[in-house]
This record gives sequence, C-alpha cells and structure tokens, in this order.
Amino acid sequence: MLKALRLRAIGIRLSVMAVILGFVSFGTFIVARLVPGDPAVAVLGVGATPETIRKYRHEFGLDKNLLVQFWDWLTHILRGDFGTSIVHQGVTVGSIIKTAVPVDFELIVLSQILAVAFAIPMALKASRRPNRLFDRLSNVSSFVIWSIPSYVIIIFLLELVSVQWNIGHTGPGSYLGLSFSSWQQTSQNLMSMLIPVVTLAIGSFVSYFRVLRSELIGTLQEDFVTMARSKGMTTRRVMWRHALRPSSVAFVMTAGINIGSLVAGGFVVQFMMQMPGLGYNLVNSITEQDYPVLQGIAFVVAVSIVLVTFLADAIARLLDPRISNGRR
Amino acid sequence: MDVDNKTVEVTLENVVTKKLGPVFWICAVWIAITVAAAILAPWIGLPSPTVVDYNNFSMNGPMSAAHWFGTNDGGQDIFARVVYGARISLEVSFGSMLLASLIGGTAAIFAAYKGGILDTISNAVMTLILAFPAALAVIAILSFWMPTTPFKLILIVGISGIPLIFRVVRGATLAAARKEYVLAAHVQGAKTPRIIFKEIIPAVWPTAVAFFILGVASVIMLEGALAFLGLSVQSPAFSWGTLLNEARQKIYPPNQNFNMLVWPCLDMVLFIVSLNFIGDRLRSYFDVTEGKL
Repeated sequence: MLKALRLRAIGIRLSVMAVILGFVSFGTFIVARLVPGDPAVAVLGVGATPETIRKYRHEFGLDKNLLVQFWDWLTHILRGDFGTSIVHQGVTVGSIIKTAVPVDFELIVLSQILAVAFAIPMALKASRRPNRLFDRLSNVSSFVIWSIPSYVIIIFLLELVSVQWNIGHTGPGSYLGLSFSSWQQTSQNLMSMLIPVVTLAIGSFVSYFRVLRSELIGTLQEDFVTMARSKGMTTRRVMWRHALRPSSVAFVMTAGINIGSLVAGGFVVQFMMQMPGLGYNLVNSITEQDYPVLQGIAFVVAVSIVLVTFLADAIARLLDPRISNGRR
Repeated sequence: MDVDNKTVEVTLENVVTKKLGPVFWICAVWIAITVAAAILAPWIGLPSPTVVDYNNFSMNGPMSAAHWFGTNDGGQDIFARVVYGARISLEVSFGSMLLASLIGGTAAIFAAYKGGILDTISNAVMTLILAFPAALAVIAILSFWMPTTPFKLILIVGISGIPLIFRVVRGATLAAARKEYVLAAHVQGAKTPRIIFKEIIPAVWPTAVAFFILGVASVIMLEGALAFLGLSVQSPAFSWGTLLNEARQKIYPPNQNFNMLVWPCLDMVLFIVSLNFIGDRLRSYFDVTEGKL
C-alpha cells in the first residue's frame, strides 16, 4: 500500500517534470524565433540576393511552419541529433555540448566540494554558541558576501592571484581541458580552474552555511542531543554524529538548488574567464543568433536542472521517509 | 518540563530577533544618501563626469582635493562618475521593480482574492515561467534589441520580474483573505473593491515592500552582469555596471588604475548590502516565509 503510494508520487513528479521540460523547450524555441532579426541575413550578409537567402532558409528548414520546425527539432533531439550550427559551418551542436559539459561538471564538483568543506565546520562552530562572537561574525560576513556579485569577486581575485602574485595559467582564456596524461597538464587545468571555482564556491558557501546553521541551532535544542551529552559523549561526537545528521535533508535540498542554478547561472563567470562551458556557449550563441546551438544548450540546461531537482528530491525522500508520507 | 520549554523559547527568541536594530537604520541612511546624491547630482557642485578638466588635467590621477576618488584613464573625475553612474542603475532597478510590482502585484491581489479558475490558471502559468531562467531570457531579448536604453532595460527586466512578485503577493493575499476581519467586512456588506483597498492591501503591502527592496538589489546585480556582456547602456551613457566593466580592463599593468575599480565596487556593494539587509529584516519582521507561499 505504502509502496504503491510512493510509486504513484514518483509517477506524478515525473509527469510534472515532463510537462516542465516540454514547456521550457517550447519556450526557448519560441523566444529564439520571435526575436527580431533573420539568421539568413545575419549569416549571408546584407548583400545576399533573395535567391541565396531563400536557398539558405530552405536548407536549414527555416521556411517551414514554426510548429513543424519545433516537431522536427524535438524528434531529432530524442534521437540524439541536436543539428548543426548555422553560423559556424559544419560544427554540430552535439560536439559543442560534448566539449562544454565536462567544463561545467568540473566547475560544479570542485566548487561544491570547496564550499561544503568550509560551510560544515563553520556552521558547527557557529551553532554551538548561537549569538556569540563567532556566530555573529560569521553570520554578518556571510550576509555581506551574499550581497557581492560574482563579477566583483572575480575581478578582485584576478587582480590578486594573476596580477599581484603573478601565478601562471590563472587568467581569462587560460582554460585547458582536463587530462590525466601528464602531471603538467592536470596541474595546468587545476590552475585555470582556481579563480572560477573559488568564485562559485563563495556563492554556494553562503547558502550552505546559512541553511546548516539554522538547522543545527534547531537540532541542538532537541532532547536526543541533551541525552547524548548527558551520556558523556564528547562534544565533537555529539556535533558530527547526532546534530549534523538530521540536517542532511536540508543540505541535500540546498545542494540541489545550488547545482541547478550553477548549470546556467555560471555564465557570467564562464564569460569573464573565457571558459567554453555551457553558459559561455549559450551567451555566445545568443549574440551570434545561432538558433540550433541556443536551442540545444537551453534544452540540455533545462534537462539538467530538472534532473538535479528530481534527484535531490528523491535523495531527500530516502533520507527522511516522513516527506513522502506527507507528515513533514 | 515547563522550565525546559521556557529556556528553549528564550534562546530561540534570541536567535530570531524581532527588533529592527541600529544596523537597519544605518543601512536606511546610506540608501537615502546614495539615492539623494544620485537625484541631486547636477546641483551639488560635482565636477562634470564626462567633460575633461583641462585646467587641472591628469590621466589616471591619484586621489586629491580636486578629484576625491582620482581620475580615470580619460581624465574624468571618478567620484562624479560613481555618483552619476548610480542614476541609471537606480533608475533601471527601481523602475523595473515598480513595473513588476504594479502589474504582478495587482494581478496577484485580484486573482488570489477572486480565486477560482482564473487564479488556478494564472498561478500555474507564473509557476511555469519561473522554471525558465529569467536572466537568460533578458539577455536573449536585449541582444536582439540593441542598442540598449534605460527604458528597454526597465521594460524587459520589469516584465521578467512579474512572476516572482505575483507568487509572493498571491501568497500574502491568500493568507490575508482567510483572516476573520476580512470575513467580518464581507458580512457587513462591504463591496469587493472596498475589501481589497481597506483590508487586503494594508495587510499585503509590508511583504510586497520587503520583496520590492530585495528585488531592487538583485536588479542592480543583474545590470552589472549585463554590462559585462556588453548589453547594458551604451557609451557615452554609463551605470555602475559599465563603470566596473571599464575598470576590469585596468587591473593589468602598465595601465593599472585601482581607483576606477575600488570606488564603484565599494559604492555598489555597500548599496546592495544595505538593500539586502533592510529587505531581509523587513521580511523576518513581518514574518513571511517561503514555506507559507
């Protein structure tokens, strides 16, 4: 009975996701087509004859009905074919996405690890004695950091790391793909990741810290914490084993939101660092009016955000069955 | 057991403070000064932000009595540029949030109070639009609608902010409409417009103001991001965002000029911190949580 209910809940969630995905992909498609400007003119130049423009439009299927175009595009994507760029001759959208995804993946994984590595110990220390010096200081500074835009952080990091300290391979455009073939290549890749990872980590750190701190302050009032303390457990053990564990649901939810927003939200950082990730290519495709690339990347971004949200939700349900039973 | 519960309550109250506090007023004063300086900029005896001072010419000049924050690479006064740059940033952020609040807020109050199919449909549409990254839509439309003017920014950013305001105001209206005094007014025979203006709006506006302020802060940040993509106002017009984008080129030797970077950053970040602090405080003061929406 319970299992059937849970399966039904998952089914409902999945269909909601499918509707959102359909809507988002149709939305990007329409926005990309309705904005002024003709891609044929943009690619062929103003001097192109009507004949060549007509041929071009026919070749890329731009002369068909919008709904027909959308249907063609969707069915091709479901077969794994994202089409080819209409600005860069012969470059497939699939190849752009294939090179972009590892960049985002590395950025997100490294920045989240860094953010969590600082957020957990600091939240533990702050929540032990709420409203005392460390808690207030960390709370105020996390608030101020929350208000600093990423592009301001990145300029100051660039100034400090790659200009003042003059550390190589850290400036804009120094990105090198991840490869483990030689130590030099790996370290160069990590150096080029330094500034963007730290910038993104600072942003994520604030949300992890604030969520964990308020959760921990609540948990530390619970009877089982008093119980564990009165049994004579060390403070360290109480904090890590008993107090932190109930916060895991909120933590997973925050991670889901953070990762989801970084998939597309990192575009400013990627643009300023000239890193060929999804965000960078998305902005480029917008300014170049490259519809297939724009649609393909927007679709991948939407799918990843939906998947990450779904995954975070599923993990939270596994961690705390009360959520699916509707008691929380 | 009673004693225990009391101690718990006291500590929790200490954590979630209910006072506005002195920092709130410091932030409010800072916002007032920045806004007043931006509005009154032509009349408070500032050097011109665009005309170069040839009598006292200095390129990348240091901080001095004549040029408080130094001069930029074109010999223009940085202090004047920061104050004048705030004009477009503030115009765009306040303007777009006003537009979003007027349309989104009005629609939300009527939809939520009337209820029924109209409310269900509009809420579903707004939720779906929220699933769409608004910043990317703004970038897409702006890049096809060059050159950017403050009016276009207000229009596009304002429209993109409607769904969020709609959801927040709708939640607050639903909560307010359930109150006994609204029912009492209804029973006394008050007409719908009277109930909305006399009962609902006074209950909803604190929430709306808190989100309005947070929204202004996030639009200022968004304007900066657009400037980095070259999509904000075009030269010779300038905003905080475009000042930062100019300064970005000036961190590398031999043409370093930190005054161009530090002062606009400081002014902008302090302003955003103040807005966020006030918005956050108001939100917790009036006790609105996301969970209640």
